[in-house]
Amino acid sequence: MKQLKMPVFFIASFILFLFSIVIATSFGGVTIPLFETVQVFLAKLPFFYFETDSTFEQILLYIRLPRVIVASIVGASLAVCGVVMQSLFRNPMAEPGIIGISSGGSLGGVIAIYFGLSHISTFFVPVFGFLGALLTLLLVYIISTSNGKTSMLTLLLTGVAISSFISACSSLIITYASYGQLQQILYWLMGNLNGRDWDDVKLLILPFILCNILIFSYRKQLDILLLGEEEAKNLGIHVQRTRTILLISASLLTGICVSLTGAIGFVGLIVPHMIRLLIGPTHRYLIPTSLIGGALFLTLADLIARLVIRPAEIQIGIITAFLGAPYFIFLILRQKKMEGLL
Amino acid sequence: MNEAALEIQSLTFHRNARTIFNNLSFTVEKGKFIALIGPNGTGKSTLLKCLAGINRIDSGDIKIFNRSLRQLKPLEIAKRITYMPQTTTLETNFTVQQVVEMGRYPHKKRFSRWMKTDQLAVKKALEQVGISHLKHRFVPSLSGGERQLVYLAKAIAQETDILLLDEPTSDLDIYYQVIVTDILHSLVQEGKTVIAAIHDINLATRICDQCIFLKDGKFVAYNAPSDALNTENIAKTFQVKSIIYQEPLMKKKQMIPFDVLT
Repeated sequence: MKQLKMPVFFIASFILFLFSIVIATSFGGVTIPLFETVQVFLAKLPFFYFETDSTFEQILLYIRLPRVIVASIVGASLAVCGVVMQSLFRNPMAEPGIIGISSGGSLGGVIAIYFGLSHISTFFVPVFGFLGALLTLLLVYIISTSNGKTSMLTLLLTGVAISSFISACSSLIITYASYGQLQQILYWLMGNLNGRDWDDVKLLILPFILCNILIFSYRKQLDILLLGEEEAKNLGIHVQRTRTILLISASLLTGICVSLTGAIGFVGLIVPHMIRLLIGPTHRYLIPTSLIGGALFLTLADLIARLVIRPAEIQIGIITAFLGAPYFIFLILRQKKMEGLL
Repeated sequence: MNEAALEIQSLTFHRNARTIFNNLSFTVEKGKFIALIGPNGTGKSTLLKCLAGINRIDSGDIKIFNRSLRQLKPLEIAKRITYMPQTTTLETNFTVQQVVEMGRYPHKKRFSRWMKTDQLAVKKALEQVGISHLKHRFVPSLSGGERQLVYLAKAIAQETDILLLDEPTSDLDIYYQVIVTDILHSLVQEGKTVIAAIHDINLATRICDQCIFLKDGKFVAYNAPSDALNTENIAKTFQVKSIIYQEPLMKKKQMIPFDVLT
């Protein structure tokens, strides 16, 4: 496919993203006319004044908007972390949780639910989730590092091993869980954006901005790392330091997202691939566009999740996987066709 | 004697408890074309990577224009010396132009803009290597030989005084062999110092100013090709019997191997 002109594509996707916010907030249990939605949002901005329905305002500003914003931030974060992991590991199969962050986060949440901590405060699940992700990162990183050198292959393999070990731990706990807990755990494991409010937005926004600025400042290094370790050293990149900084910032951001919403699969895997097909692999463009693309993807997936069996909801993890898996198979088939292999 | 571009003092390098180089010392003059000749697995690539600062040496010192490699930051080294690998593994769809532009990285600050000088260096490098017509092609879609030219262009765009090339002609047909040889000669004429590992002994001794015969991490010879190329050095380096003769048209020594030594 021909690669599109970059600024045009970026602006187009941003406008599309604003549209998706309006659409995603308008639909749900109660459908609010699109025009009303726009008016409610604009009334919040300076220089605009509209007469708005206070029920609509309540639903839009305090229920749907924070949820849509959390979906956008999480989608954007996972997509950017996916870009970083795919480039760091030079592996198209890499995703944000590749070194076990998602499983670690999930286990943390499962433990919090199993020991009834989630009844004491809803705060415990994300805290335990984040601790789980953090401990997994530490463990995997320490195992793969010796003499101040981290082997990317060891990192990948250790990550996979630890990840399946941790998943087994989660499964073991589930075996002992009561029926009520079981439902709550499954709900958590599949990823969900239910009942997200402005507090969640406040929690996410700072790490989101900081990690993304940090990652974007390494855009040139990420390009060069794709040529290989020796090439990167040859061009004067401090390979070990660069990789550690990128790995930790992407993992922390992933950990924070996972701890809030559970492990939402496939966003971090497929969005970077889609964007790369559209605009090419240069990180200067790939990172910001994946950011928007991830936000757009998860916002729409969440909208579908809310609409399909209205008034009930499907878990968003189900929707992303339903959309993601066929695309992934398409990628594999395309690769096969290109290489004439398999 | 000219200014020394590279001064290697008792270089020692181990890999996995195996000693590759032990107390190796030599000097490379500025503006010379050195060919590195030796059997497979004898440490040619390893030596080039040590000189480029990619392999960290265990003891000894390497000086680039009188500055020790140990005292230079990675970016400072990358402004002075570049290494071009023999094989490349790029699966991402970068265009030729994008890869050559990466050669400008050491000259850029983190947030500095793309300058006219960078644009010019990239354009010049593409033209010098003769791949301007390929600049919008994806690198993974190119042939092995073309890909080698892309990496050569990237090395040239890096604008270093010293270029270390690992088998720059190995994947090329004779047409591109001649082209690359010419490029290397013009680089040397610009005052750059070139060290290239070259498999083809006749090609190497034909085009270089000086050649190094390397065997098991030690120098068998480091001399002008007319002196270094003899049956004795070939035997010592490759365990091969050979005939050396004077090629009458080019008036250069050439070599024909005919039997292994037992």
